[in-house]
Amino acid sequence: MAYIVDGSELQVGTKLTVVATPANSASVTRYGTDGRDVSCQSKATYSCVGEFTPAATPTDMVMITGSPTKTIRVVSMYFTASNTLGGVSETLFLNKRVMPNFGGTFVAATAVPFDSLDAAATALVGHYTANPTTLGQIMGTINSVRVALPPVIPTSFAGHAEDAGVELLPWLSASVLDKMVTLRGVSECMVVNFNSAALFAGEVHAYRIVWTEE
Amino acid sequence: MAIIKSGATADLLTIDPTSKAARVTVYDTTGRDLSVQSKATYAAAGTFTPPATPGDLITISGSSSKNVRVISVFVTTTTTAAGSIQLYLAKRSTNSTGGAFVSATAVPFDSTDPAATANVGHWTTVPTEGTLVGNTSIIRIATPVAVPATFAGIVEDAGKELLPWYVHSVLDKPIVLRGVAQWLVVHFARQALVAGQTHAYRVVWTEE
Repeated sequence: MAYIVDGSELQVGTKLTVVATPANSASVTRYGTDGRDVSCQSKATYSCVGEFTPAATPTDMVMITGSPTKTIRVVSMYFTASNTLGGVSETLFLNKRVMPNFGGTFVAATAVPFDSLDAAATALVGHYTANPTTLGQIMGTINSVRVALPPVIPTSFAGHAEDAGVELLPWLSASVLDKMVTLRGVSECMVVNFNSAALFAGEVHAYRIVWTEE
Repeated sequence: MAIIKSGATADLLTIDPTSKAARVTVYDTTGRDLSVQSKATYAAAGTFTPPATPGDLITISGSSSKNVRVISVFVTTTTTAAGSIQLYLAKRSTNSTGGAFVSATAVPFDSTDPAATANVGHWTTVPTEGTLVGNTSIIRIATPVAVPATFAGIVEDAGKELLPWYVHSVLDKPIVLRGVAQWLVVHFARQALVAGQTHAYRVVWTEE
């Protein structure tokens, strides 16, 4: 008879658990070859939302920055746009930066932990109401979408979208093997950018960001 | 020959006879069983007319004995004349009090599971709201008329997932409610109702 013994605790002799009835199955925990625990639902998860009127000819509008202590993985970036008249569209860009922005007026959003056992969020999330004075160095554009802008309160329903929002980074977009957008350190950030285009009259936005920290 | 035996009991690892594969059960590092389809799952649904300038519209509260993980929150809205409204999904750390709360019937997906311990329902008069942790989602959705005169331009579905079923990727957590003080609510931010505004909803959650 042989026991499988934890090699890191030879003196303690921690033994593999075999779950009894009915399965008689071995208990295992999944790890990557880098030693990262990849158990399902194992990561501290957070969400935040915000609503705002953007600055004129906006650049970066919504931002999530990396953390000084944790690695941030962005799970979802949902963004809504509406204006006074509807019937128009605009192009949005989801960019990753490797240097932080400077200046402007940034309004931090409240990060909500999905599980109260988890620590407070360390990523900084929010939106700009005045453009950053200097944009950080861009790594590249992850996504660009052209979205319809319905009126905030349409006078009739005909032809209007069900939902004024779009997933710029769709929840459940990560399959088993591909990585989520990862922010390492406070210099890295992901932003929703408007490329300094002119606003439509009455243009307003809302957003939701979901991310994990570990 | 090697036999793999439990370190705690006399149980031996089973090798299935056809596949010759060993049985394994996946756990996280805290000892939580992560087998697929292993959790007691429940749903509740309701329809209602909200009170004027509502705050909380729909609530799922935590349990005194189980951890509640919310899988889906789906809300529909109709109005007399079509338009749009904004809804929020928020987490509270203390209970809302007062008001008139109507509990919905929690349906276990499997009759071998015990009765649900979470309380799900809607408000027909406005409560005094508990402490807000923050909003977890926000949507602006179209509100079609309840019975349209014609089909032209009408959406297929008057509802929207505030917390979409099967939304999670592999590693992120569902919203977890630990203890009866923790609530997840759909709220309307005390905005004025649109004429004829009515709602229906469905909440799905697990308990373990």
